[in-house]
Amino acid sequence: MVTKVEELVKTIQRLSPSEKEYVIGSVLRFMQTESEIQSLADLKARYPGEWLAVIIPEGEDRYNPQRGCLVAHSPDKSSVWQRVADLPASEDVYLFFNGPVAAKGFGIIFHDTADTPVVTTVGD
Amino acid sequence: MTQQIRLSLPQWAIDNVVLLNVRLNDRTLIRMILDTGAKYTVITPDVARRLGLDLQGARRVPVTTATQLEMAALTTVDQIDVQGLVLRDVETAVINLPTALGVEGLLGMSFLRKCRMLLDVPNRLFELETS
Repeated sequence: MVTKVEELVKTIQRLSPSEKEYVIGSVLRFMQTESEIQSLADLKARYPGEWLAVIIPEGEDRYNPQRGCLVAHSPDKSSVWQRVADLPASEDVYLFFNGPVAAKGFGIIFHDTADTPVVTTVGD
Repeated sequence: MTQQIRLSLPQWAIDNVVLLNVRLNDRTLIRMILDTGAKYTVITPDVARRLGLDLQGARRVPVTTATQLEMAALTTVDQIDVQGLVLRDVETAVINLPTALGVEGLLGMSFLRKCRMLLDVPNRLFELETS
């Protein structure tokens, strides 16, 4: 390992200043991103009952991510969406409520008045 | 081409309702309620903004919620992806959902009508196949 690191350092030393800047910048960005990636299990334990938005890192499960970079968390959904709105469209974002969905006793009805009534009831 | 998915749903996804993590336009992952009682697939205005949907000229459809009659914008989502089963150009209504519902969308019949579906609640199995 030490030998490989030494080889890497020597290789970087041979680069031109602009190449060095690019390589070091890339390494720093990678380290920063890695340090911001957190386990979703930890985030869920830390922010119960809140809306969470996380960026899904590359290589993570795209449907059921286990890790992510926290963008925003709040009991107030709209404030979380405001933070998400600031993100580039290219970011892969997962937004979810970290709590019970459709609590018992809660019902919702959708009735398309232009057509056959459709009814949805959730909860007890 | 037939697409098929077979999922073992986690407990949280099948408590009071059936919840699915759904990717929209490949860059936004939200939770939706599987809702065979909803004629349209539904997303909230926040999701529509994230997807960059222009609702200005969208057709409006009347929808009665639990409390009031609302006019919902009817739009088309380019790509709805349920765990790898992808349908394109899905007719979708945009309407505010109650925050207490805890989801940002309903996966309704405008999506499901193109699929065969098996839901085995006791065994927490969900299968979906395009016909």
